[in-house]
Amino acid sequence: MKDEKSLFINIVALLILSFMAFYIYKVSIDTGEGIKITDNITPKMRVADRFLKKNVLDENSTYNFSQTAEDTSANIVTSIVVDYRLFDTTLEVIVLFVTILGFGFVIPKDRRRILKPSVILYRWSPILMILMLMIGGYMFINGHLSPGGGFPAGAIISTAVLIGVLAGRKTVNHKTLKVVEAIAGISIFGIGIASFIIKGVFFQNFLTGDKIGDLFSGGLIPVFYALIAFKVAAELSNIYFEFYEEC
Amino acid sequence: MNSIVFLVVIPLIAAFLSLFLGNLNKITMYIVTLFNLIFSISVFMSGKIPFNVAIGGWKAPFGINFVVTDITIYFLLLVNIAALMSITMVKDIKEYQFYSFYFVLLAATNGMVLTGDMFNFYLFTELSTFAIAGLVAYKRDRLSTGAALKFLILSSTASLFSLSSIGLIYKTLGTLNFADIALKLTKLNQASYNLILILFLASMLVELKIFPFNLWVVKSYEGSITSVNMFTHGMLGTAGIYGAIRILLIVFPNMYNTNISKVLVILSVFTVLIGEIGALKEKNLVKVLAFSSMAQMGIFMFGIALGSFESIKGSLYIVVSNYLAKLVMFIVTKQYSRAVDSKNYIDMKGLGRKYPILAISFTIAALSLMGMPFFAGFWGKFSIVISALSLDRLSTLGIAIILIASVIEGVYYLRISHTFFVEKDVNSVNISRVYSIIPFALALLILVVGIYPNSIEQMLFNVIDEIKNAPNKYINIILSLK
Amino acid sequence: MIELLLVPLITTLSIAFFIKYKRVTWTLFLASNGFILYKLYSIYGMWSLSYSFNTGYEILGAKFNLGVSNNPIGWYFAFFSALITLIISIFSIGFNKNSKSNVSVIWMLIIFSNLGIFFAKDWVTFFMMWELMGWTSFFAITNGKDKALDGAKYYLSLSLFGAALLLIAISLLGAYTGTFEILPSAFGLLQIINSSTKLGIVILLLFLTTFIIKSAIFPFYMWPQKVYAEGPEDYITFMSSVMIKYGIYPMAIFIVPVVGSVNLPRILNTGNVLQYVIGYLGAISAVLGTLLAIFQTDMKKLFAYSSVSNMGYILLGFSSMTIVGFEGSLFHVVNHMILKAAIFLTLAAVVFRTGESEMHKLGGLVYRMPLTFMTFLLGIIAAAGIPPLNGFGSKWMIIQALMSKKMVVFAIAMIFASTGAFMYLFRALASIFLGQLPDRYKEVKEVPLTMAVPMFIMMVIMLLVGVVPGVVMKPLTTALKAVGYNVDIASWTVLEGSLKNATIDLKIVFYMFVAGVIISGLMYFFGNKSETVPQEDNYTAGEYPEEWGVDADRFNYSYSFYQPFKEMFDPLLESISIDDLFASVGRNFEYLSTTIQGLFKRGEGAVLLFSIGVLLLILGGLII
Repeated sequence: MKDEKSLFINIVALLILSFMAFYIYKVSIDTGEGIKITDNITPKMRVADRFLKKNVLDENSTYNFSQTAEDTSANIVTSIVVDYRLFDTTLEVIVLFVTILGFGFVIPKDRRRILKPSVILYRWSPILMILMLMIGGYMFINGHLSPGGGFPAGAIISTAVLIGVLAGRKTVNHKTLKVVEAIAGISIFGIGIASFIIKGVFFQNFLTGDKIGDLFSGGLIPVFYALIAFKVAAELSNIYFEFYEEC
Repeated sequence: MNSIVFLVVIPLIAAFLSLFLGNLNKITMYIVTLFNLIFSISVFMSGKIPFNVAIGGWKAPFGINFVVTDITIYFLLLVNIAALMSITMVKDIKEYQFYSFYFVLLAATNGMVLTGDMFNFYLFTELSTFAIAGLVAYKRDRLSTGAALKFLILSSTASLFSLSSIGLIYKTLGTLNFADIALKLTKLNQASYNLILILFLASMLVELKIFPFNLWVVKSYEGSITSVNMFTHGMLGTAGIYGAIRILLIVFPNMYNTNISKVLVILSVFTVLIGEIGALKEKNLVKVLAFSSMAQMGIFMFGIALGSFESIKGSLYIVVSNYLAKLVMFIVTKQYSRAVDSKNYIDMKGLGRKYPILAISFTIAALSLMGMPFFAGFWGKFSIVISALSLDRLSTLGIAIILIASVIEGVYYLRISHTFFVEKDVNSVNISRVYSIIPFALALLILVVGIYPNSIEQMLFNVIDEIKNAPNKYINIILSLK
Repeated sequence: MIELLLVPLITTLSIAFFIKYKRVTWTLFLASNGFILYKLYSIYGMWSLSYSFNTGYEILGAKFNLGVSNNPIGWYFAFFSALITLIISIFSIGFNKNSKSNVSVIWMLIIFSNLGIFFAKDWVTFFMMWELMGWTSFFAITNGKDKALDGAKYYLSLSLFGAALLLIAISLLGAYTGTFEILPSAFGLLQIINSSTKLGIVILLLFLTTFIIKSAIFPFYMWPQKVYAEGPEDYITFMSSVMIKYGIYPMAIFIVPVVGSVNLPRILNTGNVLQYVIGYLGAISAVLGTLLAIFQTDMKKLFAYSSVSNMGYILLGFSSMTIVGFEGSLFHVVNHMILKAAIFLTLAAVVFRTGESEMHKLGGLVYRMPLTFMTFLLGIIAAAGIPPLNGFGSKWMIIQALMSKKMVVFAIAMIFASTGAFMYLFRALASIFLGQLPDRYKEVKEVPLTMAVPMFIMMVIMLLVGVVPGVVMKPLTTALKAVGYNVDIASWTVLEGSLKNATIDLKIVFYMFVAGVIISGLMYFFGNKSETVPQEDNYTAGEYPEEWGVDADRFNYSYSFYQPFKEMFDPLLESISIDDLFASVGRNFEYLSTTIQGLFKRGEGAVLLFSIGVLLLILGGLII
């Protein structure tokens, strides 16, 4: 009975989905400007295009306060993620924060048994961890120059902690992680407030005047990336601990 | 007024701090909420409205911006007042997670109201739904965990839809700013416009509790504690209403040229019917309130979907009445159910005779929700009825059904009020009379608005003026066009 | 003008403040009613008085004013309502000495809405007061007792339903005529009917439905018996005499002028279609009310149905659309107010002393409560329409109007109903007050002075209005003249009919009646004396029914008194059982409610429903 019901629901869902797909197809073949499956949109002065051309500052604009802020980060993606839309990025970090907080709330507490780690894992884990930390560190330090950045770096760093957990080694304290998380989070906003005090605008990249391609360039972008990396790493590690402590 | 960002930043910092504060969390909660309230009042008083704040210093269509216009500031006040009311109900909560969630919710709902950017709005919505889900799960029993998971599943589905909508917008228009989208959206062909609108609407309707999207409502109200119910109603609900007004009416005003608005009319009529009929046999007072808030949102959506000047004004009256009334009702429910240790209203017999102020406040709130004259809800109902009857046949039929359905609402609400006043000795029960103050004050407010609507008429007029008469005003503020 | 509305409001608040002190509240209640009556008396003739309150609320492109004005017909209704209310409120002081709940707060609010309805200048004010009356009545009926909840819920659903229809009607009228004021909108409605007949008729029928719900006319005739059976008796007195007329007032000022002057197809050259609609509603209510009243065993239910039938008379008078019929109906409004108040006061007195309202369990109370008996006797004589008491004149005028318009069916219905009224009225008299006194009521005493005085006043009024109808007809004709009807001011004792040379001088009727009383008095004193026997001897043939396991009350002759008659009419009554229809609607809603609760409880397929919703939106987007 239950199987039949779920089968029925699945069939209905499938029908609905195929109808939606058909609809989207129909939308895509509609004439005029709009959603196209294969599109060769001729470049117009869309916001997105101006981002790609790195030309968002309007000559007449009163926001024309910094001549170089636009140019300092070599990596387009980075400058969008950590400069133009830094606020969104911060909020995404907080989404992660909330998710992990909710984890302990929603996941029911029941005891699980984990196996004793093998000797090979136990012995090799420090080397792996150092490797992970190095890669992670490199990624967020060079986030503004090459692909990478705070989020993946944080994830990689947290895998170091995961390996430690799996190998049964005491690496960092749960409490320490929380402190790191909170300090990183508060610092992000602290810098935002600092920018408010210095420039009168929130989250403005107020360290300017450096040369593209240098390690120390892009103003506050590397700083934010570092903070984000720490925060993400601490948050993701927290999940592992959440599970680990339940065992 | 760049400092408006503090409304979001301070609660978020408090959210991080809450991990360590322990017992101080409760005081921090009051301080932060009061800060938000006082700050928004000072913005309201400052006379600098409207203004636009660029975050990170990037000009409006490029960076993220916060916009404060008349609508924004009113909803900001509503959200923060609701926050203050709700936290007075918080008692003996030790878990720091609760406070972290609250701070994030406060930041997110303030942000939802303030933001002028589509993706930013999406993120704030995400944050607020996650925070609410966490808060709903606070009791950690089977019921509340299930409710939280269901809410999460539905809101994740919704966010999937809104994210695809935002993606399509960015793909086709190359911009994320509300004003910029509104300006450029008219150039799209009808099919694409519809698809974007439908995807976004589907995600909005989950929070607005419109029928096929609202299966989370009753369970999550039932599974959570009163203060969380008040958060869901007063903060998330109000911010969601703001989103509906802002986005549907300013970004997608062309909706009224398509039949999607007709579908919205039908869906909202169904929501009203289902909400009212569902509550008819319900004994659990909290679930009654859940069903009723569903119905109220149906009426609100009906007015919005009609889209005329008067119907939108009616919807705004409904918002005011529902906002005030539900706060009153949740507080009264909390006090009474704690006194008799049951949420079944049959068990609350006779409490109204011993604590009449609470029961009278509840009755006033109920009458306002029923749209009785001399209470705030009446003017909303009246406006919506008049505008619906002068529109097409569908809306005439719709309003007739809604009015008949509100008969059912009257029956179940007044039955509850009657139960409060039944002659019965309840000497063993004890409720501190301090708790009567807030509900009574709110109930008086309902009466004032009901008897003398001029008290808020000007505000509502500003709001509708901004929506209907001068949508370009908003666009000009943001894009600083002349 | 405004103090007339402010005083009840202030009284409500002060009563609410002193709610614990019963004596204070009822004294305040009485004082406030006295003030209202005095104030109404003093504004008689000042028809230009008005007051308006700017709400600042904007609708239809203009700021909206709530207004009250001294409307002559409204004054007529309000004055006599206030008079009756004042008398009832004297009664209430004594009646509520031992009651636990205090109905006076909410009652005062109802009086406020009462005045508001009668003096409303525009439909919105009218509607606001109308809705206020609906929910306040709910609380007044239940009055903190669970057993009254069912009836009150029934009444509440009907009145909310009616209010919903009224709101639609008002909004349509406002949207099409651009005004909410009552008198201009009547002309507006006439124009709508002339230009687009269908819409106009719909609006008119919406109004009519609302009003007949409140007046318990045919399809909605069930609520009085449900409500009167359980509500607090003094409030029920007010409800049955005064409140049931709320639906009549708007009919008199709005429906009747419109229907009277509208140009629609006529039936048999006697009246237009709408006239016949109103007439048939009235006729069915009159006949049905009478039949149902005959079969009741509960005295309050009996008089509830009697009210239904009397409301039917009033509608019949309206349906003739002649000035005599109109006057007769409005006169009957006041007559019914007076006589129903008198009857229900006595019923309240009986319940107060015995706690019983089933008629066959009572009997013989004439020996214990003579004053109550006298009031009741005069009341039912008035209700039966026998001169020289007050019910006669108005019924006579209505029948005259119907006959002059050759609406023979309606006249027959009216005469049938009036005759039937004898059957139930005198049965009630016999069952409650005559016959033998059951043993358990041996100790019953006459009511205390505060309750006896109002009953006595009612007797005086009934007789006064019966003999000198001018005390009501003079203000009535003055009011009608002020509104613009072409009427002569009535004389003190002579009533004018509409048939040729049809006038009746009630003074002469009274002299004849006095002569009749003297003759029958002589017969009583010089005839044989009656003999008293024990109760059981009379109708259980000396047996003790308790030994047979049966309640003695069932052998009372008034139990199933009209059984053969009932069997005759049962098929008819069953075929028009509106109650079953309403009950099944209620059941279906409850069933639906359970289903919806289940849906939300399990919450299965939330995402599926979500996608169905998206599907609907897509369909809306596709159909352009």
